[in-house]
Amino acid sequence: MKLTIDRSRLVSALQQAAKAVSARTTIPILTGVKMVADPYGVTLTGSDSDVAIQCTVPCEEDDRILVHLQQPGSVVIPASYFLDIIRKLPGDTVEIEVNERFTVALRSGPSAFHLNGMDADDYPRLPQVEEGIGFAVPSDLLRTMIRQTVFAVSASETRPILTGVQWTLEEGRLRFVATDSHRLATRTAQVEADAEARVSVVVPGKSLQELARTLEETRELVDVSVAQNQLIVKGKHILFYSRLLEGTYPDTSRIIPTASKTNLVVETKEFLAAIERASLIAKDGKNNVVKLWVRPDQTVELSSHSPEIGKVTEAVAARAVEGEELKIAFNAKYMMDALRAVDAPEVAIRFTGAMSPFVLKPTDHDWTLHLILPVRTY
Amino acid sequence: MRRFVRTVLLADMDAFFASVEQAHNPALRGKPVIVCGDPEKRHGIVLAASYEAKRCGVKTAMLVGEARRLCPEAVFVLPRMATYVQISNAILAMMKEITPLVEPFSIDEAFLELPDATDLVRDGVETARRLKDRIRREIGVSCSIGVGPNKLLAKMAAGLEKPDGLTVLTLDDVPTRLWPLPVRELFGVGPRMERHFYRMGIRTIGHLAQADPDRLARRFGLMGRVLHLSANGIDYSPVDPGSLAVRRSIGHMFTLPRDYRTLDELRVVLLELVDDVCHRARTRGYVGQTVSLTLRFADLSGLHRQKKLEAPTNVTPPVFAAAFHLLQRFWNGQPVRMVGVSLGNLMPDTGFQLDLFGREERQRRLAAAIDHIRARHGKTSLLRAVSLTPPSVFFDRAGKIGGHRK
Repeated sequence: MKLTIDRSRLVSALQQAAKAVSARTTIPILTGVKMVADPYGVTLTGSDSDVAIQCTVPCEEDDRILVHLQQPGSVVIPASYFLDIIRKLPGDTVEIEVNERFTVALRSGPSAFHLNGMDADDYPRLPQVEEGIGFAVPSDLLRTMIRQTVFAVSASETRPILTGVQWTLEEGRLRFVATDSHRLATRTAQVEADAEARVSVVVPGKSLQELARTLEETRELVDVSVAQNQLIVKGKHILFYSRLLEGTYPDTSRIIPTASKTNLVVETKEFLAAIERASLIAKDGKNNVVKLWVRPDQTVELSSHSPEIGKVTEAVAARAVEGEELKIAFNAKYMMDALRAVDAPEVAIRFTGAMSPFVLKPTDHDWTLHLILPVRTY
Repeated sequence: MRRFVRTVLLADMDAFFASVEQAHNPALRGKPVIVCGDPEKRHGIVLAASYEAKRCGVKTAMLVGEARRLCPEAVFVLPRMATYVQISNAILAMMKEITPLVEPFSIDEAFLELPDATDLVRDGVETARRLKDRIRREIGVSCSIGVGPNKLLAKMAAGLEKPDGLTVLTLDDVPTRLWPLPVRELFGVGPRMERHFYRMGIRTIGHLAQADPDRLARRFGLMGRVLHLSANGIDYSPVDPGSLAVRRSIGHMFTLPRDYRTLDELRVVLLELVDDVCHRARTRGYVGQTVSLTLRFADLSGLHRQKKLEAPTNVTPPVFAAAFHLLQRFWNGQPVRMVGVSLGNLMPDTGFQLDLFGREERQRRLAAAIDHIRARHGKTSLLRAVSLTPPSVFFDRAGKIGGHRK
């Protein structure tokens, strides 16, 4: 393999691919980044056992030559050294040459490095993109959908399936559901897909956090497909692979209450700030418990007390209050997470009793819904 | 040269939960009051009894039905743990105004050390009297205080006169006031230890004080030496303000009838121990978040590992899962002689997070139902099927509560 490549493009491609490389992997070849040079360009792949990120620098883009290819080939190069060296090289271009013993020569301006590489044939193979069914979604929308749900996945391995976000595509509507069994977050969006295309998979939360970091804040479409138990997201120069979780995701559709006994409309930011204040007292307690009291006279009070520290009460300025009196206790963190993810100036909160799940929804659209289970107090 | 003498106080609230109820409701004052699990249903156990009720023979941990028979005119009150914790903290705050060295020992007991005191009797008694007055005035609860040169003697002193006592115990008082007491009265001696001592001819604290410490050490290890020192009124442990959160735990250990060699055998014992630990946590109104596993092997070497739970609890499934995980991960297959499990990082059980699938709630309801049945009909009235298999130590352990195991 022999080529010359634009250094800044190589750095950004390498940075993306290296995100998937785990320092703690037990498989030696996965500590490296696979580099393939062919007439289309230079493709860099990083992977751990859960995700893989593939990033391409095309030979030519907008009439600019980015790669000057003299001899195609492939090699695996230790990721951390490769990235650090390329970042610090002095020239605008880098010349890369690999001999038959996988020694990688990196030359730029006056400096020359030689790194010991590995045989690319030993690198695990990734599934092909063309396979599988899928849909297209704007990059920034997918990012938002992940952000609005992934925080609610379970951090514990007791029920592994709950560490993922459930993706369901039906009749062109993509729905994300995440729950750790104490709260649940959903987000739905219209996407470009065949009307009969159906997808139902569970994607690990950790992979999605990685995916959100690689997605750009643009309206440009990315293609999503499922093949060989992998989720594949294809952007302009980037391919993202994630392992899927095996197992049955619990049926959450019946858990969401449809009726309610007490309803509240609050201004999102104001209410969030009030919860944050109450949480200052509650956060050291075991459940971070804040209490909400909807009084018979329709005023609303938020309170929290901690025997060691003290207490707080605050009158909540609700836009609308209706229904029965209610005293309910909940984990302030769950409420703050939901309010931060809801993306609406106003939310409606619907309660069905002190021991039942309650629902938060924007007042102006139906795309997001958050559900929180209360804390039972004696 | 004058020897340096510490001044340590132990303040023990008299019939704490019941006294709080009497303080809050004047109608209850002067009447027998019993705080218990479920007064309407006539079962559950007595968590606290006022001195009026104790006079009729009602004791803590007694079945409610029995208490009602002994004291039919008693007022039965549901416990309000959150209130007790709040009051307990208010009392601790008063103590911290006296000295920063305050160590909560339980919800109704705390040690105080007076680092500036020059005279144990004068300064100790003066401080104790002021503290008693303030607690009675501001909280409405009486307490018994023991004053001594260390934690052990302060604790022993507080037990000598109740309720509303103030007792000083100096090192010089040990032979006259402690030695004549039965050995079980010594702090740290349980019913099992008492039986061992009886077989060695040790019946009083004095007998223990005069026993050969090396012989005790050979027989009981470090604990033997510590108890020998205790019997002589010696205790070097500091008053540690940070101890409650870290050290408080509820645990059970069991020496197996023979060495166990398989995971299946150990699993059965572990499950039974966890059941007992959780039961005790529930009756005391605590939840815990750290599970630790202790194993002692045939060659007397040991292993101790712990794991933090996702959320504090007092029901068997999550505690057992953590304990079994530790066993699977760290046990290397050596024959096991003794198994111990404890639940630490305890805090008062004031509520729990509900979950979508109702797991914790179901588990808690099941545990409460089992507790009720066992409180009424005895521990052996309801048991797990595995407790009928050979590795089980259930009946062994159930028998031991009466202290009759040979």
